[in-house]
Amino acid sequence: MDETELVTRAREGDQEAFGELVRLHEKKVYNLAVRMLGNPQDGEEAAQEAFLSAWRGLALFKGDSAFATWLYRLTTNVCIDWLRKEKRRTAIARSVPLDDEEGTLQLPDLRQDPAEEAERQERLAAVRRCMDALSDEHRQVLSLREFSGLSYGEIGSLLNLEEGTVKSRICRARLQLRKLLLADGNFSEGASSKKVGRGGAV
Amino acid sequence: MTCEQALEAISAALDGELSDAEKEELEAHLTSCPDCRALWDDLRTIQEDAWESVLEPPEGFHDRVMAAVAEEPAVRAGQPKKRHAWKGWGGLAAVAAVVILIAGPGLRSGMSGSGGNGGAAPAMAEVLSDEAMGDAPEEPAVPEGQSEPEDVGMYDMSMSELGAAPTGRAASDRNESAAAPEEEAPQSQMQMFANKSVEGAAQGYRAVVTVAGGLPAEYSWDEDGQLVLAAEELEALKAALEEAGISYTVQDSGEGIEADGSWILVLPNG
Repeated sequence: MDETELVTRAREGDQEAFGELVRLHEKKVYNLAVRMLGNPQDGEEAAQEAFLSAWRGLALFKGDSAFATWLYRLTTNVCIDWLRKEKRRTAIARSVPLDDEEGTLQLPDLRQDPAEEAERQERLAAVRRCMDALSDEHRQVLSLREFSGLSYGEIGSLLNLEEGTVKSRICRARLQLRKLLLADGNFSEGASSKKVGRGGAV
Repeated sequence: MTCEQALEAISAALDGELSDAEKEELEAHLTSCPDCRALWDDLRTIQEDAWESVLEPPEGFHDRVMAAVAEEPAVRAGQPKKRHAWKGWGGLAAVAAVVILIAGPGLRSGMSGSGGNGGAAPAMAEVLSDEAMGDAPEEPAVPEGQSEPEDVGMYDMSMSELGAAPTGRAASDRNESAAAPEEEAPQSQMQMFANKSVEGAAQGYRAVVTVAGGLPAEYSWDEDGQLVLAAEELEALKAALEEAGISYTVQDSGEGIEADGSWILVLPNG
């Protein structure tokens, strides 16, 4: 059954069809929420909330956009609302940085030798850690781009920003992330260009 | 191309947002500028790592979502309300119309303030209205046909014919006042009034608000265990919910929630 059919059935109240849609998108929705909120506990709750909102609001989804786009937009709305409420509730800065102990660990990639795999996992953990260390502004915009695949225009309409601002903010966020990674010590400048397959075309 | 221009182009290239001509221009710059080439390589590696760094949802996540869904009375297309809710709707519609058109903007702002923080313009509202103004792809939940001026005329006429000039009510009186015009109005005119409103409302809601736990003291569920409000009351509701520490989510139709004559549906969570 393709996604359109699943959406149609879910709109008619078919929970099984909706379950399939959840399965198709849960990883992305979960990661988007975790990244936007900066920690896995809130991210999980927000992701659940987003799916529940989708179920409740399917009647409002007319299929003019892809279901995924609509769903990511919902997720983003939940997260933005979450951050806003959080800010109002406490003036305390976001605490617990995300590391592997808190999230579900990726299964090791058995194709690689253990030392390389350990290094890879270390690098990925560093990326998560440093993304969480970005400012809210930078993290939101970069997460939206990397984990939802929304266009600059769509991100702009969600965050109330001009498309050009989105574009340059994403660029600044990337530079900031690189800076943090270099400072974190798990990434060395230019090292990537020495790796096999680097230095390729744009 | 300067290095500064190359920087933005590199980022846009990673996002797949460059045209072929722009790609060629960037490629030419990268060939002649080792610094920008190194930056390109770094940022590309970081992007790939970021993609790879995704987490699996925790064990049981799917089941928890589906358990919540199973408990949820979903709002299905074309049947936003159960049959016996029409009466309550008419009442609410009457109050909304009275507030908007008879008492005028002064009272409206008074009402939105009654939740405790009417002056606040939360980010969500901005997001929602922006979305409506942007390229929001969803079809409007309420069709164009539900035109404002027509409704305005109808409400105006009805109310002047009724001779009723209800006094301003705070949100806390909403449920009492909902019944008031109905008692005072001749049955036939009230029916027309209500039918007109209900007709529009039945076609969909601008937003669905889901509330975890109870409602703030000044609101109460209708006989179906849900609540329909005029769209402009959303901000007051949100402020009241936040004041009371009740968590909630707002899901909009993509049509915008500010317009007069549109509705929001409030549902309990679970």
